[in-house]
Amino acid sequence: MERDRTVWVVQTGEPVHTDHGVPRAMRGMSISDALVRRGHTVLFITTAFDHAGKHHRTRHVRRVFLPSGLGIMFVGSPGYKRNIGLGRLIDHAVLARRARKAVCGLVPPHVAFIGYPPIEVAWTVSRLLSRMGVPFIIDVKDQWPTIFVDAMPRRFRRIGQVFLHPYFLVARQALRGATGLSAMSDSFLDWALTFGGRARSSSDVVAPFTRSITPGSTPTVEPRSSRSVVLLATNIESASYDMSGMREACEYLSNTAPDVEIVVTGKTPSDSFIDRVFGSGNNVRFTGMLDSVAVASILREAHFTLAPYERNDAFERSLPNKIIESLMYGVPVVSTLRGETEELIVKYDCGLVYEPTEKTSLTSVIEEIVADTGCYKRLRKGAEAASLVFDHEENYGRLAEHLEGLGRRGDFSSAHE
Amino acid sequence: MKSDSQLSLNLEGKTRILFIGNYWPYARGGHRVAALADFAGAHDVALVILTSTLNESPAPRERVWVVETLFKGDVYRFARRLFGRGLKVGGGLKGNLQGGQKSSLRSKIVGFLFKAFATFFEVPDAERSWRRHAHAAAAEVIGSNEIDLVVSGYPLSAHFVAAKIKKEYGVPWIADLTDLWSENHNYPYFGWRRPLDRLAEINLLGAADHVLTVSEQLAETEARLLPGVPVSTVLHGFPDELLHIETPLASEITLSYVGALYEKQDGFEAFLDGLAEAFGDNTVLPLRVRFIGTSRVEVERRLSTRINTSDFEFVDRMPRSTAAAMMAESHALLLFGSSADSWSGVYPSKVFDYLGVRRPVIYVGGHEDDLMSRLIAKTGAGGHFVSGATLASHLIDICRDDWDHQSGRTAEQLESVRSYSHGAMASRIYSIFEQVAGERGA
Repeated sequence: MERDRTVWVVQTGEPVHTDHGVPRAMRGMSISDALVRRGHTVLFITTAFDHAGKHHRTRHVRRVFLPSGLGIMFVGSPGYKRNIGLGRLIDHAVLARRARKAVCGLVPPHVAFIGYPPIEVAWTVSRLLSRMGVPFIIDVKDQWPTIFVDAMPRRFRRIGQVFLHPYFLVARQALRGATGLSAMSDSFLDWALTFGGRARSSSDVVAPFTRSITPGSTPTVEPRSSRSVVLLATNIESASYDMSGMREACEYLSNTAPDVEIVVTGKTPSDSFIDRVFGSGNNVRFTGMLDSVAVASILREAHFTLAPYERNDAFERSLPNKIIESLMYGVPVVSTLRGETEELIVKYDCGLVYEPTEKTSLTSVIEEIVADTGCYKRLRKGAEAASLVFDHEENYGRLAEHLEGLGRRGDFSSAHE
Repeated sequence: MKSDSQLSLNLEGKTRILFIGNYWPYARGGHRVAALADFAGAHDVALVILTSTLNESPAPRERVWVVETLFKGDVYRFARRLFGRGLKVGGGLKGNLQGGQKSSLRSKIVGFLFKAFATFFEVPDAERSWRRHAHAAAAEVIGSNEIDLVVSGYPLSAHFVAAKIKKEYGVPWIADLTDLWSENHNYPYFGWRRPLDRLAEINLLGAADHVLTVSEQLAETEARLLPGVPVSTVLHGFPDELLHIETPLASEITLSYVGALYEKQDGFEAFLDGLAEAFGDNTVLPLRVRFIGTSRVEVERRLSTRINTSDFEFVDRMPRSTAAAMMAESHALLLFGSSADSWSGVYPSKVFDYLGVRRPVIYVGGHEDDLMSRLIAKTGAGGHFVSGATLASHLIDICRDDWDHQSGRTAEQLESVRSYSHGAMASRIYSIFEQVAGERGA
């Protein structure tokens, strides 16, 4: 694909360039920026409703064009208060209909990159693009709707499957109709291909969730101790985390290494949660929501990061972006996850994996790192080696190049005549 | 006013300006905003353009953010849906419904009905339903960004929005009137509405910190209406890139006219008379008359029986660069004046584009020594022919390739053309903007 082609990036539920502060770029922002840098005309189609903040970015603006040439289209929807609930289902259905209507009258792009989930938007936009003869990639970031069924008690799963059958249908249809799929890891891509009933092809691509390194500056969040253990989270109370063993680990540190502070980012949890999970919490600090600059400053000062994720198929097939972010700053990782994460940790010797079912496992691992400087130095070196693998510019440059190749191969000339 | 919106634009610039008005050429509007966008970076200005629906994505400009609001359409959107099918392309709703000859009964009835509808429903303008979205979007922008100055342009609704924003946020406001409101030379409504518009104009623009317009005469008119409000003149200009266009002349003798043709431009009829005088009635013309972006229906309605129109060429709207090349290859560019007094203080913006491409200008109609005539004389740009009779012999000279006005052009005249470029215009306007914005800080 030549330069200066038109690309649509359809991503909802992520930060956009016009969010307050320094938004933490996720997939949509990162690929849009990479494509703009390569000289293409990009329209980033997203929601007017901010998923993270649970409020509307705008109610009256249709599109914003930045000086770089990037266009951002805001598609309106009712919004919702909770991540799990009928409100969100209704919101996504309305969003899908409006997204289709919003892009219907536009000149078709040369190629498109569509985020999945949500299922409905991916389905409606992909169908439209298929009719226009435009090649597109569907970027699979989560195992919807399978994870909804997996989250149900075993005895309700069959009924759940019946109720969710329409979602399974449209999800598979969307994935099957795509020119290619992308995912954050090989095993996640395998899952997506199997779910969509398609064989792997040269149109598919793996692209980890890297983030750009925020330039060094004066720390905006001052470390209070010489060694900090950082737990990057948006909401530590969510079901994504398995905090087993944390209380014991906090007690251990409080008694034997009082200079070590545990720093938890994201929404400050309730007092009852703090008490149950962290105990007295003397050596635990909650920062609240942070932007890119603040997270970067914390990571630069971190001794190591904690990634206590729930062991499920989705997480173990993926490389969570917070683990990648930690490694990008050369900070070793302590995690619960097997699968792709454990493979990476073992390959680069950049961290340790502990067993959440054993209460003392996390404590043992922390003891190993904190007490043995030789061990820590080794892990630090490994993390720095791993950081070279997750070069953000290279990663998204490769993804952009892959999209360009798709555009070259696709027969979409009729869409522009 | 609290807003939960989040439209953080990270504006970089010494002066941060919110321009409320359509972003020409991507939406119907005043041309001035294009010049402001082209030179924002050069003047260390962060320019946010708040516009209604864009026809295409705008080209990126340094330090320019474009915010396109929601907008369902103007007051004619229902009629377009109703009559849309079967109408000819390019004529516009009114022109297509009028059809036929200008003097026909059907044309007059349709014209009257449109005028009546417009008088009652275009309040203050056809895009009035944009106000709600524009105001809310402006509030979202101001709620999330530091803005030093608000400027309002086209349509009139933009001034209402800006006035409200000034009242709510205390931001200084400049109203840019490229066409006047109640004193508009092309006032499209029944006369009884004018005093009501005048009252609205005095009340609304009386609160502005400054008013800009496009000629000295218009500025005087506006200043009389708005005592106490500073009124300045900044003429239209032409895009700087026109100065660098070098295109060989078309092989066939070509006279081009660019843009809309208005009822009161009776210079067009004088031009047709001139053609008939020079070449005879209903003969094949030895030259090509080209209309670029002009309604074919409107032109055909006004053609006399003396002219064979097969030599007329109609070209639809096109990208600016293509239109510029077509102007530059023309042997001469046509300008049609008006005998109406209301037009005497008006510079059509196209005359500056004509100056920029440096092709001879044939100005037909108007009055001796009117504004256009003086501008053409000052810049040595061409000739003024008040009637068809005086034009006829010059048309013959053009066909013989005998008329080369350029040879008489002085260096001073050529240099004066540069003073009408967008770059020069933007400098003048931005210095006014900075002065008004600075007065707020003082």
